[in-house]
Amino acid sequence: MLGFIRTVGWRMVSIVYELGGIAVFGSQMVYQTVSPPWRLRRVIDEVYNTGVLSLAIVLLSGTVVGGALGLQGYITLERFGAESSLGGLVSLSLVREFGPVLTALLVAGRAGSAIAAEIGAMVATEQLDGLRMMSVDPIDYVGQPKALALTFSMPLLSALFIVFGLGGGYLVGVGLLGIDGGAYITGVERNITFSDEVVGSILKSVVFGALVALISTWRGFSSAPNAAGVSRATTGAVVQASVATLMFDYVITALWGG
Amino acid sequence: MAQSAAEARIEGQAHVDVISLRLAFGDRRVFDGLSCRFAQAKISVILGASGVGKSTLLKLIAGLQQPDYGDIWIGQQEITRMPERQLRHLRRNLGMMFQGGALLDSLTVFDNVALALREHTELSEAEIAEKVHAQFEAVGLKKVDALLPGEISGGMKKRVALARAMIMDPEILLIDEPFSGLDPLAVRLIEALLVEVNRTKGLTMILTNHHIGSTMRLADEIVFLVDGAAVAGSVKDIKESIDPRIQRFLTAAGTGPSLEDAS
Repeated sequence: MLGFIRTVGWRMVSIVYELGGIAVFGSQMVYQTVSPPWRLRRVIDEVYNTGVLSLAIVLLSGTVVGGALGLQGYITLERFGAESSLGGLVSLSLVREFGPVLTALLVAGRAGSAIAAEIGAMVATEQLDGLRMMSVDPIDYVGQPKALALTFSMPLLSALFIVFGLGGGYLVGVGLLGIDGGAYITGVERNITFSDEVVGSILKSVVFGALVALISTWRGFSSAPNAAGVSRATTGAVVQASVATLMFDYVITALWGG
Repeated sequence: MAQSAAEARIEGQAHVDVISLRLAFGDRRVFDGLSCRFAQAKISVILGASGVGKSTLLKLIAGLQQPDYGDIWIGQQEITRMPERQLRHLRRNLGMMFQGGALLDSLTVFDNVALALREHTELSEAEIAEKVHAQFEAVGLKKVDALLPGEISGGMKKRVALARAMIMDPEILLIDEPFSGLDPLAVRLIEALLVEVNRTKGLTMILTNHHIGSTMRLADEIVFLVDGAAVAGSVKDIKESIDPRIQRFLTAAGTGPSLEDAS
């Protein structure tokens, strides 16, 4: 019993220690972001690495998820004779929930893992110490451009996910199941308002982008300087970023008004 | 502690003073009251068996790690309790060549060496190119500008790392295992290079090494690490030392510590 309490207690202390580390790291990251030098060139390079290279998986997933929503929605709405509402159902699901959340999960797996692995490898090969010896802050030079680029890319990727998802829903609903195309588009238009759905969706994806970026870079910087450390940092980044995304999704959705 | 240590130092003699250093990783005690000093404009070699803490001592001097206890003075500044921001300023006078080079994988060889100049000077790109190429010439490198670190040999990496460490004209050069993984010819080339740099620029050089031959050829002074402490002296002093631990290392160089020693 004593052993169990000790284990749980030690685990709690570790979690608090980890959260404290992330908080300090996050504040350093924010400080570096708002203070010069602004590394625009490096941020643009990282937008390519994190955003452009994630495009294929995001667009493909968006189309497939939209198609699945169209199919599932049709089966459900048909029971009530409300198939013409499919556009509204698909668009609301995508804009309010699936777009930001699934994009964040995909980006955590694709770009977040890559960021943690790259920074972890830099720790293992003393490249970050090399930067420090050149009086260059590694958080400023390596971490901040990656985090900024990921936070910037996330809403754009999420928007594309939604657009391709709506397309997937249209293909299945209109193309395969025979719903009227005009009714589908009208359903989208009627249910999506800029001030509520679109702004909320953008806000969600920006928060998720910052979360994934912060956790991925933190796991990289705090990784042990060996191959096992890089491996742990990579898997830890994906798992923690995914769980944090889902938890924050609930909180934001609750605050947003369901 | 800091005050008494400061009083104990002899002004103008040592460039780097390490005083009563203690450091442990978990249960493993690496340094147990280690004290040593590194003279200005000399080549000092930190010698010792694998795992004795040579690279760790170098990182402590660079401020990349903090000891559990003790002081490290660089010139007139004590660095162990110095905030990172002040350390960044101090490191402009320090160059470090890492064992594996520690070159940034994503940058070309040229950009690796030019990075510090771009970050800390107002030089134009043409002036930066001129300085970088002069440094390449000094370390015997040609036509490597556009290559990535992954495209050059281990010996070339060490030279690039040396060029990068010297590009800001530091007063102190810290060099971690410059000869590891090199063939005998490359060892001699790097040796000659280090001696030339030391003589022409008057740099204080602190090297870690576990090769006896190159140490005896290079060193003005040797700091021998053993059992968490240091035994220091000239090459002659160390060669003629009657300390059995030193003699055992010198005569059995290359065999490394036994399991019994390690425990």
